[in-house]
Amino acid sequence: MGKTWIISPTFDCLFICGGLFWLLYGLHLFALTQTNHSQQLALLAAVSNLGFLFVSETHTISTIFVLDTKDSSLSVRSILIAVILLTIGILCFFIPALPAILLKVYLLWVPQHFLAQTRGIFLLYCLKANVAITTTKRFWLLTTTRLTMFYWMAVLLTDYKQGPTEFLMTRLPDWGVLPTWVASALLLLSFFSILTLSLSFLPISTNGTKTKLPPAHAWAMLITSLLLFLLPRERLDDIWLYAPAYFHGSQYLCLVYARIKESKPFIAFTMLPLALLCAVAVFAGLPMLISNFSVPLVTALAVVFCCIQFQHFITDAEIWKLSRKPVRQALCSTITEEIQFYKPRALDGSNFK
Amino acid sequence: MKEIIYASAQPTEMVRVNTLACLEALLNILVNSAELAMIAIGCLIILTVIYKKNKIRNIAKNFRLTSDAGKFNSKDKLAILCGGCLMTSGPALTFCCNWLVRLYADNLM
Repeated sequence: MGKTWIISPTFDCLFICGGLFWLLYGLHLFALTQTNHSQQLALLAAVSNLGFLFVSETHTISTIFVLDTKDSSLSVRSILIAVILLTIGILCFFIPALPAILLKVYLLWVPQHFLAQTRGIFLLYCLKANVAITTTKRFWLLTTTRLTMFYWMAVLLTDYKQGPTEFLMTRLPDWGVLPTWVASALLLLSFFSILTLSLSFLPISTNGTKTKLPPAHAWAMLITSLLLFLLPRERLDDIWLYAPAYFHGSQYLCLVYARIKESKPFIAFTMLPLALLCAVAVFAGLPMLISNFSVPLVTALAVVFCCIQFQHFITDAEIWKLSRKPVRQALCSTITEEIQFYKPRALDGSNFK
Repeated sequence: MKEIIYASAQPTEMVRVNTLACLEALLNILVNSAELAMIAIGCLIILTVIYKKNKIRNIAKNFRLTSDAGKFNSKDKLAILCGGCLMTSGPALTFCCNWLVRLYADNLM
């Protein structure tokens, strides 16, 4: 039973599958039903802010704890990425329009990052529960997450006022290039692909043996992730108060912990304060340092934020691939050699992130 | 607080009030980062002591308390106390800074 979870049933349900996130959103909705809800909402806003500081920012930084020369996660490629991003960051201080462009690219990249992570965790849960993922199922899983991602990107690229017009105190560029029907069509296609994905997992009797279904918590996590982008806009504003920290960030921290608990036990044990310290140094210290060179603090903040986030996105896409042996060894060490050998072949080429 | 200041400020004092609002925002960034760093360092000290003592090292492996918990000596207790003080002094510093800013704003009115 315990082998099907990444850390433990309680931890997984709360921090990986979205239990805490739905709990907070439920409290938010409950507070809204009260006649005098200003105090409750202020408290929930504080919870959201604390989550941003202690979970969301730390999760971005915690990527560095996974990097290791032994398992080739720290390679020339990762150093090259850092150098390229540093160059872009320096360029931002000379080209005034660049920080706003970087922020817009970041917002467009977010759905890919969120959905790729949940897709990887879904596959990991299937792997742990000995659920065979055929090529068709994998195709529909990828299609569903990709269509949802494209839908959200289309929304941001359709009507300027539909998405955020300002982010990190910087006015975003107007890239409303797509007609309205594109987003609507992608939304319909997303729902259709979710339906097809669900149908592809229906237990069909083949050769007298029934196929196993993915665990319920894996489904809950995947559906939560898709709803973050597919729900109506009026709901999303409230949902996104909690999603980055209490769904995506907590998920990632749990995974990092599970990955390094054997190889780096001290860092795993003290991961949260260490990551917090690094996050303060990077997200607060670095912009303040840069602002000393007559760069506006807001610009410095935006540039540092984007560069660190991009490093996190690109590095993650490489180091969390389930097809990599160190990743499988760290996250699926309890499963048999035969399954370890068979399943990644079925998952061949799929990104964990 | 900003709204209260704006609402009650006289037009002639607006420039000074705006400067104060900016100062408050900057102070918040600085104070929050210092506070967070203090919380992190305090927490790090406590966790390091706990880890080194092998008290609950198994937490790092399977979230279970071990039965062979080592005893803390006076140095460990002092380190934990210092860590605790660091963690709590951050929010205390924020409170004091906010209080000083409020006091300054009140005097300005």
